[in-house]
Amino acid sequence: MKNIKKILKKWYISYNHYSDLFQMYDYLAFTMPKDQREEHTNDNIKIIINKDTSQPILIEIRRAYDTLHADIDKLDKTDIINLVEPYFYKYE
Amino acid sequence: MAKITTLAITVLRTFDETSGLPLRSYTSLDLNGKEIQINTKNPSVHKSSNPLEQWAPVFLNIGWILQNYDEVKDSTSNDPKAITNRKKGDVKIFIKNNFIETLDIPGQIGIQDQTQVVVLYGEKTNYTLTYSIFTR
Repeated sequence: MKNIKKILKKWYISYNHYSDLFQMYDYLAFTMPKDQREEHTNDNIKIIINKDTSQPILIEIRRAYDTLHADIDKLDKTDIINLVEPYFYKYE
Repeated sequence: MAKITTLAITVLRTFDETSGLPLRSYTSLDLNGKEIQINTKNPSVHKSSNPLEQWAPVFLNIGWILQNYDEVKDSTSNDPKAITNRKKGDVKIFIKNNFIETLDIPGQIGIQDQTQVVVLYGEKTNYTLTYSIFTR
């Protein structure tokens, strides 16, 4: 999985501090048919891969505050990218 | 004399009925019959939220979820802002499965999704509401 930081810079970020649900995604994640997606789930973390390109299109983290040990609302996009980047290398 | 109460029922509005309508705050009822103000997302605050959340058919049907939810649970988030807000009043998470499919939004058909609607309410707190929509 190359240039993951470059890919993540173009993604949307969504976080809700009540549900503590963090999502970072390419817009394709919400329009791509299910049979073209490959899901990897481990504990509170889900990563969705585009089967055709082998590139990720979404990372979802439940209980984000406890998992990332950071208040997402107080971070800028670069900090968030640095925080989630390591999770993608587990699925290479 | 028996007290007569009326309950406003929010009806699901179709994509065609709501598409293109301006996003304006409106009131709905929560599970206790209490009025809740449903507010639009503020673009300057919610810079990168899910594009689907900005769609009129989604926003205008949030009130319907509050009365037709599949599950409701308390927020257990340890995020500092959530903890602070919980001290002001209850925080309930309303969950509705397959909400986007129900709305029949073109281009979204066939996507399994779950919708979480979050409501904060308290006697001394203004009603607020946020929501998130994601695939499963």
